[in-house]
Amino acid sequence: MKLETTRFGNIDIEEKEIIEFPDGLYGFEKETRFTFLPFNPDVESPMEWMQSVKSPHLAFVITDPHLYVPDYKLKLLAEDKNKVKLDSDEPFLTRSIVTIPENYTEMTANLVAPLVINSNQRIGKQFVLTSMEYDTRHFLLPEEMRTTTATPH
Amino acid sequence: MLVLTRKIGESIKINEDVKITVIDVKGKNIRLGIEAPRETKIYREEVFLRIKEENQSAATSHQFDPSKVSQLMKDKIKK
Repeated sequence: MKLETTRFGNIDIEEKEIIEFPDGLYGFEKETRFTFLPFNPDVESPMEWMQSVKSPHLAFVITDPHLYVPDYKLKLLAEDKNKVKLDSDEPFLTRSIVTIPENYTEMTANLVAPLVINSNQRIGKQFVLTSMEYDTRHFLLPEEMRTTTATPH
Repeated sequence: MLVLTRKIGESIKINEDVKITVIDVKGKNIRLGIEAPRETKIYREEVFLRIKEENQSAATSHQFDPSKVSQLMKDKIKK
């Protein structure tokens, strides 16, 4: 199917490349279908884009939180797993939404509200952790790599 | 909304297994103790507002050069 996007122009995706988020995302409850696209076609990257199927302008940067917080813990209850149709021991993908401010060296990941994705069934949900140990704005770069002089684009 | 008055040390019970006790009151702050089954999800309500706001900020990310961001991440992983 053809997909119109603001960032990537008109692209061609297959129905099976669409991931359903039946509840949408917090603040974007009507955005229930997304497709994942490479962050940068030329280079391997820990980031990906999550493009809305419905809204051409809406795309999130996502990444795997375990790359930054190796012991990042996400305990899903049986009822949580049901919501994304996961069997009890079935593996799932965890992704965090990244916020990239004008100074991109200060980009952050939201570790409080990860996306849990059942890649076999292509269904996902944004969960909110009850644990207080994580931040909605976790810096991806260590302080010495965050500059105040990064040239904005 | 059901409104109940409680004193320090008094509780309310919700269903069979959730108990909320007023532990202390200091000025405008009220400390509550909550006993509930492990799988009960208990949140401070503001967390949902923060997450909505954060999703909004993420959706309006500034223009940036993905190759520069990828390079930075690579540099970080090398370290």
